[in-house]
Amino acid sequence: MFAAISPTWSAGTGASQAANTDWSLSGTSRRLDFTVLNAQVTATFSSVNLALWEELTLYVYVSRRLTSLTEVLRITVDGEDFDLPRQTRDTWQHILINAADRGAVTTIVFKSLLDEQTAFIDLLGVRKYDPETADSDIADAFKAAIDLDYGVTTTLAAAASAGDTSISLTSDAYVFNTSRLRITDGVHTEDVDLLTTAGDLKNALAYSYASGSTVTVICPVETESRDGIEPDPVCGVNVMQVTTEGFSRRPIDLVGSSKIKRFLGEATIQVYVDCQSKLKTLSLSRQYQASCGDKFSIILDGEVFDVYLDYDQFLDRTDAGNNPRMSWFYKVEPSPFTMETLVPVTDFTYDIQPGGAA
Amino acid sequence: MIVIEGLEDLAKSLTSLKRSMRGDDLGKLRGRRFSRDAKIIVATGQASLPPNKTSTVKIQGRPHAPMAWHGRLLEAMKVRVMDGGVEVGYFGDDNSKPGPSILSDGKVSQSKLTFTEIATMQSTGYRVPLTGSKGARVRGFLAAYGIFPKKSKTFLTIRARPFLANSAEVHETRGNDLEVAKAFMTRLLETL
Repeated sequence: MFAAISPTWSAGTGASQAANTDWSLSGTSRRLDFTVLNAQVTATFSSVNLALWEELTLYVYVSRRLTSLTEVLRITVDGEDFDLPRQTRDTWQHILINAADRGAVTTIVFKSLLDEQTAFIDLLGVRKYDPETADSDIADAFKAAIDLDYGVTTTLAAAASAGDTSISLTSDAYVFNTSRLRITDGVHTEDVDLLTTAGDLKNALAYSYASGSTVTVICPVETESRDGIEPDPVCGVNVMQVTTEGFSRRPIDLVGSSKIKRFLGEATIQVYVDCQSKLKTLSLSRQYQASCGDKFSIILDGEVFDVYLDYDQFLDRTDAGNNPRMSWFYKVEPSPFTMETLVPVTDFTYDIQPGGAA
Repeated sequence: MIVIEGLEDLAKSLTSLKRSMRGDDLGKLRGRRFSRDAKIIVATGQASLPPNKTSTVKIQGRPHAPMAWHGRLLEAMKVRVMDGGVEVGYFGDDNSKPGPSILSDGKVSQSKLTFTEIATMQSTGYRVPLTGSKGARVRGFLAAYGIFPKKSKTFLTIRARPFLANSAEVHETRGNDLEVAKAFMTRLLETL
């Protein structure tokens, strides 16, 4: 389970900060620019009780330095300093700080230990193992990583008013009885579910739209429930199976400590594209293969994971009347739980007494 | 001069060993063992497949395991020697179909679907529309067995049961495949 921290950022003398979409993992990161030694940027947020979580987690990107051999950035949490060493590779660094023994915090301070550098911060939050959401978190991570363009756009043939339960489309090519439509006129945008290709809606319109407003058929990404999935087309994500063999224990490095965590077996995830049109099923499948396919990244509980395809399978339309469907199957381990926390021992105290003394 | 005897025989034995290992015999043994074990793995619930919905029991007239568990579908699994090695499963050019079955109302049902289509549908799951003219026919068929999906229900959804992939994983994890390979190598070495 992961809870993002959305702070207000403020920069001290010799520092500046801004939202950045050029270089991020989640789509938007925070860029920190430091121009003097010990310049600071502070992240301030609503109180978070760290004792209720296992780790504070964030990703930091700082470019490699050829000349500096020392620590480059200091992160202060709950009055304790964590110094990050210079990086040897140009990549995002995943920082984990033990949360369990701490109290409530409202700030995190980033201080530059160099006189000039730029850092990027992303996926700031707190995390813990939660058996209730361990597998649904995987499905949510897959959903967030998938975005498919059905490629069908039409317009409203007549004006529609807020409260109407039907609309009229200029063209119904590749529009099916349960298609999900996105209506927009540049001012308002809403998604509606069709009941029939004649334009009957499952729910009334929230806004009014003029004739000619743009209508796009979307391919939503949804988790399969017990009753199935309604929209057509759809990209379904299905947690199929959880294995109960092969649990593994692994050490996880934190800043200043480490933990032994136990993984609890793989979940098999089925991702499928299902549509009445075979042409569109194949088109959406090619898009999925290009953007995801045999290897792609998901953000699971605040951490970036690569997922690899186990196998795939195409189901054509048959005499049973089924929709064509393309499926991809993956195996993913949900977030592990903590077995023990290891802290470094820095001091030994020996009490030496002469032989024979009590 | 040093004479080492038996080198020619050793060379012949190694050549024979290489030929046997490159051949299809090991692949066929592994394939047959898997197709035999898959039936047991699936029938004993080790493949972790979801059970039938109650509507299926109503149509068939009796409680039974999902089709993927049926002997008929599993018996139809084939072992073939292909260019890249031996493959086990259901092949696209195989048009064999299940024989007729009797439904709860006494009607004889003959599947139009081939075993390959059925196996694929079981593995991926599928949706059948309940809307429009096609949907009306499906609703009519279900109504004959006293099954009336809600008007708001738009698809008949059959969940994925990847029986082949799941049983292959159990088969390999348990060491069954390795057992076949070891037995083969032991017999081969005994013939040298």
